[in-house]
Amino acid sequence: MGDRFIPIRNVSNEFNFSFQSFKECVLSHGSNLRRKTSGTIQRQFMELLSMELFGSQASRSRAFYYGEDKRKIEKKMLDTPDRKSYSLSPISPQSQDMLRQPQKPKRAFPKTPYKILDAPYLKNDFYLNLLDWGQSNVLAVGLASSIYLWSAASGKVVQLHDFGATNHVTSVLWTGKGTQLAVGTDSGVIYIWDIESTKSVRSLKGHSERVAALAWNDNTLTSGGKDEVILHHDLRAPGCCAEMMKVHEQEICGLQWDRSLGQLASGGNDNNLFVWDYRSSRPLHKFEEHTAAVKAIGWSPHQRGILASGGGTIDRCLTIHNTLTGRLQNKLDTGSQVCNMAWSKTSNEIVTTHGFAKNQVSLWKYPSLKNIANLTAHTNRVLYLSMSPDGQSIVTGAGDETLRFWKLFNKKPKEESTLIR
Amino acid sequence: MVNTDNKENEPPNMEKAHMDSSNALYRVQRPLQRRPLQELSIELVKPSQTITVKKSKKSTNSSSYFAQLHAASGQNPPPSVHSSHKQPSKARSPNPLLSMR
Repeated sequence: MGDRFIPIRNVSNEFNFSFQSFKECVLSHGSNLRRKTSGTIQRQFMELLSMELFGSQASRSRAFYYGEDKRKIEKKMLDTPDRKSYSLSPISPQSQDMLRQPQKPKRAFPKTPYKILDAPYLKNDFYLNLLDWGQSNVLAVGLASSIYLWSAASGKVVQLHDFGATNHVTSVLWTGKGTQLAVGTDSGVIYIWDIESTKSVRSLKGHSERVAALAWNDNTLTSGGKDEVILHHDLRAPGCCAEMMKVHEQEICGLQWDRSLGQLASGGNDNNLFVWDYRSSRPLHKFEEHTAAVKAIGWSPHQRGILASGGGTIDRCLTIHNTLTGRLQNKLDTGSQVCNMAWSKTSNEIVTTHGFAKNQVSLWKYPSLKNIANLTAHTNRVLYLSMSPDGQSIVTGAGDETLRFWKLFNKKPKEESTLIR
Repeated sequence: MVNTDNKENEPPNMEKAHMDSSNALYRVQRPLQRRPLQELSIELVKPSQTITVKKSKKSTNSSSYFAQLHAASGQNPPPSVHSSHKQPSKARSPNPLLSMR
């Protein structure tokens, strides 16, 4: 007899075959099926099948494993009427619970816009901002030397003004509650139009070249020009501009105020992104991550100090900065020229429009910057973007001279009153 | 650093051609007289359309092309069209015993 130790193994108890490893297989097959059918019934069926075959345990990675079967054996308890043995249902109580839970509907993105408007002579120019959807639910569009208004409620079209063949519109922006419209022009003069009276109430001078960027905050209209200058116009004061700032070395093509924080972001063709505090004429931050022009700028409406920006053709990056800390939070190569962007008012998502070369509209999840959807419909660069006042729809303008309307976001759920609990 | 005034409007060399819109789901129909902010209708592009075109192109390359031509012209196709690659069939004898040989 040798002194070898031969362990006695109860094969039937300790060597187990893990059916759990096949669970993933079934689930992945289920997900493939789900992709094909895109039906909730198929998904529910696959989950139910998985639950019935393998239970609700976490899946094991190996088919065979050594050790005790850790599945809990049903303890002998008092005989109750809701025990499995007495159940009339062919499925387990866990599966019944699963079926009782309300299913979250799968989000669907539109493949086609719900409305398309013709926009003859809409300029195919990256640096301009020719589209703005105001609080009064009226869309302002700059087409060559004319300003047009389109009412989203009635569909009525009005030509507000024609500046003449030599003076084209370069930017439009609604101010206040959507009763006044600021219009930047090739000549460098900004006109303020009162929509109710359809008359120009003011003309703001100060720029020597075209004004392609406009932003509004309380009573201040901020403008950025090709003359590399940012001007703050106090709309209450009868005189001309109030303050002038010059730090950009090339044309300013993006301006956005964060009204709650009192910070202004300015992007330029010099690839720089500056952040300003309203109390100071010197920039608070200078972000130099972009390697192309910065036109697409957006402040998060959900978190203070979160600034998203997109770079031009060479850069193609979507970046997130925290202006409270001055740090770069996230950066992602989108694969094409970022022309414009907007944050969703109802969800933590960013919509971007792209030019060279994908010409698409993209939706990104914040903060992961995971791509959620891509809408490819325009046949040229999607240069212009504006969001509806209710935050559900966006309108995109492109070099193909069309404006396309997309319903991307759901209504904001009504917050429950704190008084009723 | 190359920084021209209009750099963002110049397509990069690699991507001068516009995006291929052949995979678009629809076509925008524009009227001859364009009016600003006029609503445009769309025409849905069925993927089956391209398949049928391909099929019809394939059929033109097949051997039955001449038969189709003759059918279209109303003339009877020559016998060689139908049995161009077959051996000429032998005339059968009415006597079954002879045909067995």
